[in-house]
Amino acid sequence: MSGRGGAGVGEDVGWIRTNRGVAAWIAGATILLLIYLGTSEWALRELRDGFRLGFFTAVAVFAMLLCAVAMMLDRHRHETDEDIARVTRRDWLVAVVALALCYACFELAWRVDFLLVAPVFLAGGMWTLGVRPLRSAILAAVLVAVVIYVLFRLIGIALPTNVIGL
Amino acid sequence: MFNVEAFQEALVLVFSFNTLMWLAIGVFIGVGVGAMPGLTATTGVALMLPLTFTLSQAAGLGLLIGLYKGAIYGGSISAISFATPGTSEAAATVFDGHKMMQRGQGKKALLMALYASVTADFLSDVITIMVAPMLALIALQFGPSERFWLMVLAVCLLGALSGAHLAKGMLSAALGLYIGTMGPDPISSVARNTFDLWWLADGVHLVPLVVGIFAMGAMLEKAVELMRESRRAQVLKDSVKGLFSVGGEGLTFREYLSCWKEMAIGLGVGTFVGMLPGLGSTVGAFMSYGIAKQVSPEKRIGTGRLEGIAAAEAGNNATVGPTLVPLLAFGIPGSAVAALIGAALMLQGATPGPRMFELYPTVVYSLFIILLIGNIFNLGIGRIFAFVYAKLGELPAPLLVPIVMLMAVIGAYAYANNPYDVLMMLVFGLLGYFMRMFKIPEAPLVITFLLAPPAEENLRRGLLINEGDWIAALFHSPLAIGLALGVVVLTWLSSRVRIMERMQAVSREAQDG
Amino acid sequence: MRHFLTLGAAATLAVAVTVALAPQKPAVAAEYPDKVVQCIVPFGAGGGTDRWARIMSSVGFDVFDKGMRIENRGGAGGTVGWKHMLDKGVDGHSILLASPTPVIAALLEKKPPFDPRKVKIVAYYSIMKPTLVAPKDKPYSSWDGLVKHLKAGGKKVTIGGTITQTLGPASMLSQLGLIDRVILVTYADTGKAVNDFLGGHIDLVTVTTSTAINLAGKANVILNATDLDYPKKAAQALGDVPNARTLGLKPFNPPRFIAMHPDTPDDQVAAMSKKLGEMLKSKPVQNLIGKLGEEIIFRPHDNAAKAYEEVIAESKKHLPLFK
Repeated sequence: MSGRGGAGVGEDVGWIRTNRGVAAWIAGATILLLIYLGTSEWALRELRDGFRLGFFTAVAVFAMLLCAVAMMLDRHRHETDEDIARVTRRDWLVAVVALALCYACFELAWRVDFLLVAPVFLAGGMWTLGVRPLRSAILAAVLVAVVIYVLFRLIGIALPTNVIGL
Repeated sequence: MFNVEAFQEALVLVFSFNTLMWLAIGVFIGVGVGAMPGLTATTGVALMLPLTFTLSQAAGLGLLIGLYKGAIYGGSISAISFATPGTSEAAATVFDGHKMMQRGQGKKALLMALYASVTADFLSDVITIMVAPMLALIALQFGPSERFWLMVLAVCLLGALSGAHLAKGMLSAALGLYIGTMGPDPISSVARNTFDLWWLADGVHLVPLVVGIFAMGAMLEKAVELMRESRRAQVLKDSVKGLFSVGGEGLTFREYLSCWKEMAIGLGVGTFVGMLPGLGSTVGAFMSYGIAKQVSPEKRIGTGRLEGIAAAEAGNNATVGPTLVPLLAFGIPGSAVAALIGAALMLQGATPGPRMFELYPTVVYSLFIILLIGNIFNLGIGRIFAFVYAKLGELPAPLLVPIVMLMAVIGAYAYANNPYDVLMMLVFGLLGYFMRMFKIPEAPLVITFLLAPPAEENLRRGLLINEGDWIAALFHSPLAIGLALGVVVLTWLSSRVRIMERMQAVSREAQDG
Repeated sequence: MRHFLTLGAAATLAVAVTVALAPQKPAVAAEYPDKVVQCIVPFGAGGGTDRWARIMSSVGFDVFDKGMRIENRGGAGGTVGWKHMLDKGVDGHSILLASPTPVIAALLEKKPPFDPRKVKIVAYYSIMKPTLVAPKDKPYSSWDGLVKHLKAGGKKVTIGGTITQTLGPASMLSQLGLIDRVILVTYADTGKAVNDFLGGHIDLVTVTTSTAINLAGKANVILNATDLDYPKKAAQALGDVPNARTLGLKPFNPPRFIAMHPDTPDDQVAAMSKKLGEMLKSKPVQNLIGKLGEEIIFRPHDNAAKAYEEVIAESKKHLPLFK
């Protein structure tokens, strides 16, 4: 639910960032999905009730395509949302790296030791995002990791501590 | 029918120190579990079930029901404080709750969530106690055709939730439909739309989806914002000090009463949704929120309004009592939590079912009394948590973002100990971030994801039962025809509202120009 | 401020250590298994199989020196947990507490993530009894009535239930050449199927024994698709119900079973099977399982492995009816 109005911005940020531009990308992606569906053996398999296995998926993809086309043609087509106007490639990179780090934290915490990995992840994150001095970030990270560990342990979920061995 | 002796015995059992203590512990753990993203009421109740082996009947019931009630409310605490719904049923609370938090009205929002939850929960419990067998009979009238139309009716509320730009709202709904088709086909159980990934065979789960789109999406947005600002202030000291100060605007009785309409909608919708097997409290919350928005467009629900919080929270907590209706009336659990409570009852020697009132009246009365007084405990313990979280929500973003990200990862994993759920949650985090950037509303996605698969399942089941006869499958009973007419009326009404809004906007633009 | 944080960290660490160092029973003898037994439940916490695991693990230290720890690994119809067991390799102390669900999930797939036959069956701990329930006062209110009705070529009859449960009656009706006269309506859980049955939206429903007992007053219990009798108490409640043996048909006995990695040495499988047998014989387990309305049916590894092969063959034969 946005509730954030889709007000346009005045500056010229290029066609690609207008609603029409983004919708064109979305339409492209849905066409790729349609091609995937059309070439998948499973999608055409007929089931005992007469429906094909991919029928409802295809309905969803067509609906997405229709909405994307509607966005390219409706009265908001020339508008550009403030956030889309400002977003840069670096922002996307930050988002993807953050997600990759989250996954790395998960894998390492479960393979090595939650109480070793989580404080490093938290302290690193806090410091990168602006917590100073580093000591405060480390202290807060250790505190939070231990509190999370204890809370989960209390409700019967043992987070892995293969090295510390609690 | 009323057995005075058994009732008196139940009163003695429930109002013993032991039972009240376990009820309080249950609510305390429940609110805590609910407030942690990914940990659901079901997980909490399941983890505590073995503990009831060693407790008395009343104490065991107190622990589980207290935990259930606490967890359903607890989800709203982190939804309001960090825009991170602790449970999927609290996702609808994010829209208004977090906006109020950002305006410095976190305490007010949290108290509204608590009072709406407790009010609707209490009243729905009373309804359950008074008319459980009747409610159960109504629920039986809903077969595949009726359920199909009910889902369609609920999806029609999307118009109200799709925001200012209809095409974006509908795109979100279509995306939810697409994600909902991943996993087993409802009739053949054969996996579909899984991109040949075996671990997607039973589809996308609600918890990783909601945690990803709401929590991770919001945190990525904040992280990007912080990296962009490159602010390197010493932010820790002052803000942590602030945690120990008392303040913030509370909720007045007048404000609480002003949301009566939304609480009533939540109560009605929640009670109805709760007694139907398989729908659950998330559907209750979203439907109640959507109806409240549709009924009172002038209140501008969605812009940080108490009414929005009241509707969503009343809608989810009102399912708690009624979810036990099929269990008590027929011995059939209507939800995962009801199955666990049924198991706890069986372990204590009382098999749930129609003869329960006759065979184990003390247990039934104990259950009813616990359902009611659990709300009082929820009120007290919920307030403590609300104040602590209201303060935690004021922590600066650089501290909060990594913590919520870590909690989202643990929560997505703890849900089923499935590492692929973490992966899904992160992918949905990126999708959530894109949706935020491009102002695509999240509510239609969650609604169609929740409702389209059961709609398809019931449509196809109806067709299968009626050997492919569409008319018989769709208009099986007067109730089905009534619901179909309801769909037509609702569509007509919402298109009228939309046209009027559009005309008002055009005339405003003309005046401004 | 810093002092506050340091103190807080130290205090919390102290609490964590206290909480985490829960007392454990000292090992008295180093017999197999000499490590904690990891019991993988291929479902999230709270389901039927999870409840079995939690009840069994409550006597873990009475049977195993180092106890038994539950590891829930839900997802993809139980196949994530199964794969996890395979990925762990042969360690001699990881067991999978399974139900027919992951087997059927794998058999339904064209490219399953594992072959459900390639596994060491340690034991059966129970056998489900798919039970067919019919409304009263209908031509198909008894098994004989149903067969007669279907043979007469009347209106097709709908049978609802989960795939696991419905496979039983489907197999019986196939053997009688009557499967074309019924419509199999699958549900993800029994509760929804019973709701539709009680509302008159489907004709018949296949349920578990405990649900059948609940329905006994309102409806007729007309078939037990296994060749096993109901336990005494259930038999009293359900009356005289024909089963596959009395009808002279091939039974469908869907097992709850315990499995280990396919490369586990046979002596370890046998030893584990013996220990689990002891576990299921213990009074608290028998008591709690009985209260849940479930039934312990223990079959040791050699006996169980043979029966498991038959179930796989029977499932493979009849699953196409559901696709």
